[in-house]
Amino acid sequence: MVRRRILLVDDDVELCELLADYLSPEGFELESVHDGAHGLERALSQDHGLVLLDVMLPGLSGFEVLRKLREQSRIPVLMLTARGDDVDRIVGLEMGADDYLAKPFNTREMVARIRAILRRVEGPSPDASASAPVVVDDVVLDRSTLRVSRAGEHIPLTSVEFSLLEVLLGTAGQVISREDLCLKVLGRELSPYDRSVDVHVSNLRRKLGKSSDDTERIRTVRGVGYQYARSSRPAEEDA
Amino acid sequence: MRRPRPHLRSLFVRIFLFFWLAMTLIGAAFAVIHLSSRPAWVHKRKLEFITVALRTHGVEAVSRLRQQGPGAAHDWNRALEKRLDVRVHLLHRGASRAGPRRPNQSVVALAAQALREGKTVLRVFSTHECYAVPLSGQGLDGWVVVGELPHRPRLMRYLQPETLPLRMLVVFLVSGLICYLLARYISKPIRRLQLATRKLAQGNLDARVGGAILRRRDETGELGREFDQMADRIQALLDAQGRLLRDISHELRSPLARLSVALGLARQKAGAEAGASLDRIEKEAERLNELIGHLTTLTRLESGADVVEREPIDLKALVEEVGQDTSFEGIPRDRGVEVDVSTPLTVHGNQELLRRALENIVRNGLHYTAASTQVEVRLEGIESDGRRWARITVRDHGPGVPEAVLGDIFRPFFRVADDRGRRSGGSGIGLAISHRAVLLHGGSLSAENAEGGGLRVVVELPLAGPTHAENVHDGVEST
Repeated sequence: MVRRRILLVDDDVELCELLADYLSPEGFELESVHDGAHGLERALSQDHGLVLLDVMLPGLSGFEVLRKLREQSRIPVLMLTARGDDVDRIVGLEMGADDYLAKPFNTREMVARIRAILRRVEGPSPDASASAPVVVDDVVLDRSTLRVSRAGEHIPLTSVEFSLLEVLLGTAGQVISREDLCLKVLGRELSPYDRSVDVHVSNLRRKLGKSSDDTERIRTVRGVGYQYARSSRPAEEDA
Repeated sequence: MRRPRPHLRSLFVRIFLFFWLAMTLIGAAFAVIHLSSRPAWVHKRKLEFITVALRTHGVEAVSRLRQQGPGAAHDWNRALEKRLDVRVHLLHRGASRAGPRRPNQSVVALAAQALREGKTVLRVFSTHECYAVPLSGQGLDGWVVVGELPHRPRLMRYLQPETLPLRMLVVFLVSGLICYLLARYISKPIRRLQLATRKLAQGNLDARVGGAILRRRDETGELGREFDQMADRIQALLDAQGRLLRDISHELRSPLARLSVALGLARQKAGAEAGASLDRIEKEAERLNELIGHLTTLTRLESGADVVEREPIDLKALVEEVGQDTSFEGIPRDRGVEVDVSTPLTVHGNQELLRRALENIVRNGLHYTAASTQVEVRLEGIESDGRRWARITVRDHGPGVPEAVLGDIFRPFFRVADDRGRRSGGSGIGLAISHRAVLLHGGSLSAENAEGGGLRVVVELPLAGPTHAENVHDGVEST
């Protein structure tokens, strides 16, 4: 099954072998590629459910692979960034990575993150309401096609941005805490010093643009979390 | 940059004044020498001309004396005196024969000398020049004409009052200009050297003297070239050191990553009894990870690669976020973080770097503060040196730091002797990272022991506006 196949792009051959050994009893099949160009090619093959992408690669760097990959594919990407490199981490998320893991990493945490991402991607919840599009003002989110449009215009979102918007729209008008967002969108507890949610929110903001009355659609409620603001016009029917 | 005004004791002013003074003194010395020496030199043509004139006058006078008597010669002389202010005496063998006045001793003596030597004799007195011309020709033996030509007193002659102010002005200006250029020529390269030295000392390893100085063939040129060589060498050494550190942390990362995965594998296969040991291995591996992470950050900061990125940063929000994160971390240890943020302030820089810098300082405070106490974080705007700064004060209620080593706590791996910190973690690089990050933002970081115990770390960052670093840069270019 494609979902369980994971592509690892990392130039450390021994690490790849060890990880393959480790992930196999966890139920994942790991394919390893050791350079960027080949990694990009394999990532686009649609044979995998997730890509583990190391930032530091010979030839095509991890960022370049990610940028080229995102031009054609929304496949979930978990970036492996160097420890102590906050900037790489943020850049990776800004370029459309779903989550990041500082390398060297704890294997249990890695499996937890892989599971969280796959769970999110796999599961539009099976209940009936899921298929109905969510409409808030001029933004329409269609769960069945995984498409989002604003005033009829398609907005390309990564899968994590889609989930984030889904949660925000679902609670539109209310404040949702960063902790809840992290749990619902990234599938893990928010830890201190982790700004992943904030980076995803700011990406989403940029893609959605401002609302008709020139205010941010997603407001920051300092010290608490975020709020998807409904337009100040008389509300249409609740989604 | 505003050019530093030459201080009274600066090399420039000293050289300038000394040379100017020297030139003026030389001028004065020439005047004195001129005044004290005998101006014996009279132009030869002037002498010939006066000789001819006096001889002609004398021959006519002798002729009038012989034909019309002494009165006529007398009048002839007087007419000349009236017209030209030249006193003429007519003498024959030492005796005055005609003249408006009686000749004095010196005139008589001069006439005698002229008669002896048979040629014009000149003598210069303070108020006049005296020419004695012996007449020659038929019946003129023994006759001497003496003319007293008035002239100015020597000083006045030398000073020439009509053109004196102009000449003085010319001397003043020309010597001033030359001395100014000379002083500048000497002091300017030194000034440049000083700026380069200062920049190097401030940690800007790219600082070089450069420019025209290096082409000079004098001592300053040599100094400049050697300074640049020294700076090259220092930079190369520090670069090598940084690269080594970077390479080490990078190379350690790969085996550590493999170790972590191998640990996971061991966990999968080992029984429950190995759990405690594996936990321990994991904990130590995590420490190594943290250390390497910090080392990477520090080496990146040292290379200055991240600062290029400058975005406006909402300090208020940043401090609040850091406060929340660290507060969260402190809860299990019964320590807290209290944030006091009054005004919204904006600085320019790299948000992640500044966040990291603040986090490290607050976490350090959290680490040392006593149980059930709060680390107090305070953000305020201040004004100093005519600039507006954001000041962030982080104060803990811990044991503080001995005064003698307060300045050292921002050095990597520095530990206070009786530090109990190693037990509870901390890589020893956190504050060094903060220090470097704050410096890269044009700010300053200092530590002091707070009254009532505990350490107070003060961060000052320049508020949005042209940065200090850019100013310095401009200044060097224009100097």
